[in-house]
Amino acid sequence: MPLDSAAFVALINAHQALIQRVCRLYCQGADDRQDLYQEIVLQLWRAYPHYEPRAKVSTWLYRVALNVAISDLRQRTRKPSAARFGDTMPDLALPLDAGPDADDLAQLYRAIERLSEVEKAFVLLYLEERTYEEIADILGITQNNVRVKMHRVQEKLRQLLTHPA
Amino acid sequence: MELDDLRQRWRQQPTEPTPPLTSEAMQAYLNQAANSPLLRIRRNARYEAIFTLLLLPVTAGVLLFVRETYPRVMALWLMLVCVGLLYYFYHKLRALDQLRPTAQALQQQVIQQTAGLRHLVQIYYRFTMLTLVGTFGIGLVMQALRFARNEYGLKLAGMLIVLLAAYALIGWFTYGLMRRFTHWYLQRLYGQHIDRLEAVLRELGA
Repeated sequence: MPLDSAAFVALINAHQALIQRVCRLYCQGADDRQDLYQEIVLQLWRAYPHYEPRAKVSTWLYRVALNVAISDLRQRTRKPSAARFGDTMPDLALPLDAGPDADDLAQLYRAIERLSEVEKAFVLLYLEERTYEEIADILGITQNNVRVKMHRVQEKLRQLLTHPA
Repeated sequence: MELDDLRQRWRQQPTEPTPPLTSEAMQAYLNQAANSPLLRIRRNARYEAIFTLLLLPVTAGVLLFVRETYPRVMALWLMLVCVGLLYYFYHKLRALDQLRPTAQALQQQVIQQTAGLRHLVQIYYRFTMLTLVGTFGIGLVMQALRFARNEYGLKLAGMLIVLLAAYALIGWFTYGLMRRFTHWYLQRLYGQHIDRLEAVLRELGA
């Protein structure tokens, strides 16, 4: 590894939670999540020499992480999330200390689970409190498009919550 | 519960306990990555390209040292096929490079990947079909010349007609078979991934 590996390792450790949240949304099983986490770190390492410190680090991280989660060839080998979805509660996302509204939360997670990969990206970036400008920058689309798509995704989620399959 | 409710607590949720990344762990990740599907495909493509390169001096040797026309023509044809294959491998390696996730915006990344793969598939398909047509064409001409050396007049014309008919029939059948097989093979190899990428693009509204 080159000399600046310490800086990279520090950067990853500082943003570990962000990467884990991406994995949490895109993978069901712990193994798949670990697999995706590792792949994202690897691709960040490969992209690191081209990283410009002027750019927002979160944008850079989200871009690489989502590119891996959505467009990576190895994605083919990962188990499709729909195959695991059913009446059972997803094991990935629901936090252990979900609180008194655990059922509602579980239902919402199930609904999110049924979204497409691109729709999940919108949900993720929304949950991560990214601005429309940053979302547009991460996904490479216009802010207007982000607004429209976000509205559609939220609408779809509402429908999935009111009419769960 | 709505998305907004989850938003308020999303980042506070505990994540899975993952040990902090260390340089040693990073090195282990890099070592494991050598077995990733993409790198394996890349490695295989490189081996295939090297094998093709090694075939070139063999064909050149046949061209230089063999006296009979037929092997020399086939060697020349094989040499052209090798050059075509090298062109294909060059594009394959480029397309595989593009498949690596980068820090580009998602849409750009997917557009680039889709274009690269489509181009690769196109080259493979055209090259395969062209190779088949070329091989049959050479076989036909060589056989016709062989007949022309030994036969004359009406008998030769009859033999050429039969030869042409046989080549046309077998060629048509093989072409159809190869076309189907190539379509199936390419779909199996890249098609599913291209379909997925195109679906992503449609969703992003490209």
